[in-house]
Amino acid sequence: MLVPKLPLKALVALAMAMASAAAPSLAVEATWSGFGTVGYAESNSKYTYQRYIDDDGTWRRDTVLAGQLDLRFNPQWSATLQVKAAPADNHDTRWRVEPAWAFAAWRPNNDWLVRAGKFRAPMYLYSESLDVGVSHDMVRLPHEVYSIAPTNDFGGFFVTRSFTRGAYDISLDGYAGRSHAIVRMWSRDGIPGQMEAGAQFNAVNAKVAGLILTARSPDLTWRAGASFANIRLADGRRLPVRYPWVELAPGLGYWQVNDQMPGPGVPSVESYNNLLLSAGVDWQIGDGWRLASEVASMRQFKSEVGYELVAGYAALFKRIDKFTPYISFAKQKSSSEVLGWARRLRVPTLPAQIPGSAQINAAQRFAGEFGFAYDQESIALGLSYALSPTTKLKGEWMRTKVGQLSNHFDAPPGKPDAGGLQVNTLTVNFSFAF
Amino acid sequence: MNRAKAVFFALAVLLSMSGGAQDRDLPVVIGHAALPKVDLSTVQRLYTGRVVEVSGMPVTVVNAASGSKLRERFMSDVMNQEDNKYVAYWTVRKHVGKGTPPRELKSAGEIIEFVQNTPGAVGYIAASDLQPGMNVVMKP
Repeated sequence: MLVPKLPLKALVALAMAMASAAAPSLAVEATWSGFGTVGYAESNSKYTYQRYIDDDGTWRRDTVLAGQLDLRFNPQWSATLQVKAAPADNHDTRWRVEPAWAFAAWRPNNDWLVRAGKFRAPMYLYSESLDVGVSHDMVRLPHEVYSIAPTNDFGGFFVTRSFTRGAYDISLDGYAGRSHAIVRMWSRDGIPGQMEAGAQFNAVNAKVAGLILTARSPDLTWRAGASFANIRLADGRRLPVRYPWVELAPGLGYWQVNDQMPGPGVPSVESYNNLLLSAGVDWQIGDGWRLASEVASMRQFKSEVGYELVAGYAALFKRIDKFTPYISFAKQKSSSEVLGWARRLRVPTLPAQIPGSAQINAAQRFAGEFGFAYDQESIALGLSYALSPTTKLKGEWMRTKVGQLSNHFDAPPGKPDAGGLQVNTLTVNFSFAF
Repeated sequence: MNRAKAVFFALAVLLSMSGGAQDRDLPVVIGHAALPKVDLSTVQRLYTGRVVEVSGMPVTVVNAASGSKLRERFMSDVMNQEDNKYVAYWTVRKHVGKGTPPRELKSAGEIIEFVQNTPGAVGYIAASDLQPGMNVVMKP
């Protein structure tokens, strides 16, 4: 992929400089704005869902505040900086302030828009407005779909070609760039003497590229896209392809999950290639009814143990003056291969009498917890109330049912994995923009 | 027969008078001198940021102040939507990095001055504020 290797900060600075240099003699029109959500969520379970939600309740899952500066140099050139305060992606109890968007934009005519800087890839219907709670009626977009790609913020280039066909405004977005993201995993027990139990944060670097086609008419929006990512661990460690079985005696053995364990060695690669295909529709049916639905498929090449799944949701809304009640159903399921590895690695294979078995069983389990294994579905009933065009109050009850496994849930120490779990979650949000 | 003609004439005069009264508030889209005439669809696209040029000329649109009678009329007659929805539309568009809403000017005088002095500018005023020599680019 032909992406210049520039640090993100340098790229953003370059983009801003390009924009300001483009129109040095013109007055700059600057506008400030902001948005935010203050949200509380609580479940009826000790298993923590989506990092934060459990029976103790949390303000962290949905709360976000952002400020934005838009600079308009002339009708063609502009720049945007959006700074967001939200729970940190590399720590479970800290907050972090960082630029969410920072780019310079050049729109030479109606057909073309070229941007450089930091963006969010528009993989899904509402990717770009994910944090702008006031733009949605749901308390949060379905986690089963919107959690799939952890690397959708990137620094690079973004080109949009727009055209009109009948009632439709059509846009084709192409983007390429680099991304740095933190992938959080949860280990119930850790590895004695080696890895602590609890949240584990892995920094990953990715090269990303994608093509997204969007068609909009007053009543109907379609979007379909293909997003590619080449992902590697930031610390240079290699990534497993599969784990070999080491047989000690007939019917007795273990899975070699790292090269410190005796065995033939773990086949590994420097990076994974991920391909996300997505499609969605938002349809204003009429008489206040609206239907939104999306499907997504993630395929990971070069690996049997990583990330392969399909997910989708459908949500039906009915607008009654300022009220919008809704119902949604969402499902996410990893491939049987990924789920199979996650299940078999979590089962101790060596009896306690064998020296070192505790360490080996723990290492196996640790590897099993690091796969992206999901099998769950959720049904939600909610209500949104528009206090004004730029403020919304929302509430939702959601029931999530786990099938074989789901890494969206953190299993507490001493408790079994989340398979078969059924959790009710209540959420109240207040979203605003100004 | 003559009586019927007289009644018909009187009704026609009354209708034209009431129409004229309404037309005084009708929003009329004006543009900088060099801008050509545009159709309703183009005005809608300009005010939603989906179009930024007309006949190769970069365009800067301005709005009447939110909550004003003129703005309400423009939203219903030209944009075919409530101002609430329009504000909500720009709230999302702005925060997903797709531009900023048109600048708002307080009075017809400010709009006229801006449009006349800014190349590529487009705004709207009530028909009653039209002055001779203005470039009317669209009447709904």
